[in-house]
Amino acid sequence: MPADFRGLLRTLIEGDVDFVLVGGYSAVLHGSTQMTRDVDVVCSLDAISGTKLVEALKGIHPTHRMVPDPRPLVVSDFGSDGLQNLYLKTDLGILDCLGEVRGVGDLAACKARSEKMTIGDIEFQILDILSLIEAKIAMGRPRDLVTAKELETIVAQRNRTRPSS
Amino acid sequence: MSPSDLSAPRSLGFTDQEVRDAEELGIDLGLLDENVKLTPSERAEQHDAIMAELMEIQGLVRDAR
Repeated sequence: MPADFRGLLRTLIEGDVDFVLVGGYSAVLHGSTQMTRDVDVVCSLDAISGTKLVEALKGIHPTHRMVPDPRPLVVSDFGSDGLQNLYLKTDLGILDCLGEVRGVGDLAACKARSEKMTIGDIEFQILDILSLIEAKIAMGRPRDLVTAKELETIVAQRNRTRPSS
Repeated sequence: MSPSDLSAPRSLGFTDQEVRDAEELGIDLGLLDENVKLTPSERAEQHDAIMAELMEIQGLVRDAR
């Protein structure tokens, strides 16, 4: 299983998918040392957004990975009530598309608490570090709490070294 | 460096409480300090390179079975 996470982000951007990067990879980009095996984004999972997502990802062959018999992602997966998250495997790695982030909320809420980040030649919205800390604490798994503590330490360190005005 | 040696992380600017928390949770403050000094692009590059190596090793192990 490859893990070209920048390639995954580039694919979403080039496909004009409206998303905010959240989860472990966003923590890595904020400075966490915790490794992650997937890219988590929060995005809309309605029929219109779903069509765009399927079109954006078709070149990297997305399949559902949390079902007994993995099958390709198709447009008809969207539009039904209750679709909250998509857990996908692609040629570039694992991509989880979340309808909302615990402790923060849906795409609109995440956008309101995001910042622009540039890595190489790609630019995207990423959940800001304070909101990510809240989300990690809300998730509450041991590894989330370790990440939250790392991010808190980064913020504290940054505040200490910031020149006072 | 002993894990309970507070002087080294303190010299990086971490507080005693942060050092204690880090010890308890297994956080490497030296590594964290290095990471913070990188740009997001460098962090992404470093992370993806390590993950690619890890995946390759896992593939080799799987193939060997």
